[in-house]
Amino acid sequence: MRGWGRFSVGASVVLFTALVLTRVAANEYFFFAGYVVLQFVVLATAWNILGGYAGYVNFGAGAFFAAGAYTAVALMKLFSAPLPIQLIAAMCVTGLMGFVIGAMTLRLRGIFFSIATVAVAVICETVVMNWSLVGGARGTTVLPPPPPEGFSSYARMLFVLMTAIALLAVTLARHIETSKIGRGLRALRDNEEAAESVGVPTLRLKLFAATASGALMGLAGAPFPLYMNFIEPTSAFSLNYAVSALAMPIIGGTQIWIGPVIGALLLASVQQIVTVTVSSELNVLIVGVLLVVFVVAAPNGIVGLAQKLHKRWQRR
Amino acid sequence: MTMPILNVESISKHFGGFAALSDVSLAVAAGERLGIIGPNGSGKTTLINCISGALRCDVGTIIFYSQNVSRLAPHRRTRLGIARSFQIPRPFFSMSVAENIAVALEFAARGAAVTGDARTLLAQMRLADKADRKPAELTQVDLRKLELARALATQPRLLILDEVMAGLAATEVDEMLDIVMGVSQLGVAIIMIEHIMRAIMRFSERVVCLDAGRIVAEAAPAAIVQDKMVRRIYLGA
Repeated sequence: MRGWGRFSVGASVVLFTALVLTRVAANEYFFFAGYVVLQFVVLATAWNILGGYAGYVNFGAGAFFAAGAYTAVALMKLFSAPLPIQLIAAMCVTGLMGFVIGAMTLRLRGIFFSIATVAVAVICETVVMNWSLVGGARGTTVLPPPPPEGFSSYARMLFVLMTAIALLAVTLARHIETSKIGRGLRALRDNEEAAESVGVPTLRLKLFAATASGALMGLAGAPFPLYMNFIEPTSAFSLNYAVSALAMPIIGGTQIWIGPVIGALLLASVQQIVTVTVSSELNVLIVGVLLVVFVVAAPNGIVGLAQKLHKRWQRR
Repeated sequence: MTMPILNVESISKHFGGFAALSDVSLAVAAGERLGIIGPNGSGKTTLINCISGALRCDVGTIIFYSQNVSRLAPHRRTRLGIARSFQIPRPFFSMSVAENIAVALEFAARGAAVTGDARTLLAQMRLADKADRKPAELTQVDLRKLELARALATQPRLLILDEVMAGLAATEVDEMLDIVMGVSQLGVAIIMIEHIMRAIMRFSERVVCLDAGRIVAEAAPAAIVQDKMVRRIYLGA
């Protein structure tokens, strides 16, 4: 397919750079912050598969993220399962979550799916709060194994892992976008009845998008306990995940895969910088204010804004 | 009449206590041109919603090419060859005109070779020069043509047109009629809902008149305008 060659070269360069950085960069904090930024790239990209391409807004990204994280914790506590198993299991659990919520609500058009995602977030948090195996409301400590061969710290390994996950998420999103599925999703986002009338299997496509989106959000959350060495419900289900997962694609642009990537890189970096330089309380406020500004001033996000300026430039 | 391709057998549709369709039966032959008239609220659009699958009828069956389609999802009926246009055009606004057609070609083409790409179809509709425009930039008549072109891209055996000419100027009505008659000559059966009597008279081989969810008259176009019931409830003379 056209463009895939350049894309895979770009992806390889990114992964290689991440690997090199773990060898040369001395500052451990860089990996700590970089991990968070990449994690938001995954969340934003995952959200956009359903929210951007199909137009179905998920308010429960935090629940999917936390479900992935707690699946990993449960597997560690029960079976001392290794990280790869945790990742796969988290993907299966949250993919299934997306599918089930979708199957219950996506037959209906409009906001029913969005309402259900809010409900699921509340349910998931309540379950975790009362589940003593994973620490309940007090949380639990998770000790990472020694860093694997070739990495000087576990955080550096997780940084490379999250880079790989982000690349996987973006590759999948790009593939969906440029395939028949993507064109079907776009049609149903524009007008669902018209899409059905030209043969688009709307329910099947929506379920596929909900499953893929959910699975990637869970995958973003799965390494979180080992990254933090500690997990408790309030931070895992933080409002910040739900808000950011939807604000980043909207600010970056929802029509094309690069939009959520730009939005996430930009916003998550700003959040990290503000956390260090000003205060950690300002995070959600910044995202909120930027979201309002963009929805009003540039509804098609940074990508849309750039396209508009480019067109105007060409006309001169 | 030759073997009907569509058999609507005593279907009813209620919205709460309101009977939008009661015990409606209708047959359409291959290649036939059927006109449907009736006052506003008489159930014309509900009828085609039930045939196309946008709504499910409460009772009764709909047989298309000997297959019971009453419970099939709309996209499945489209793939069997039932296409429709919407009364108010519903283009995919984020896509260009050509992409609008391409979606239909991609999702509904039924096994058989695609009869020409989006551009040839647009040329037939005299829309070729607007292929790269967005629907928001089109005029009313072009939007109607796009609606029709997209329905045709699904390669229908039965095409249902819901007031494709409403609000158009006289010359535009003639242009649309020419296009629709051209489609008919390809052997596609067409059901047309229309209020413009001139168009109905020129188009139809047979006309059905609906009132309050029931078929009250069925005749050749020349005879239907003489029908006392039709004159009283619809033509107002």
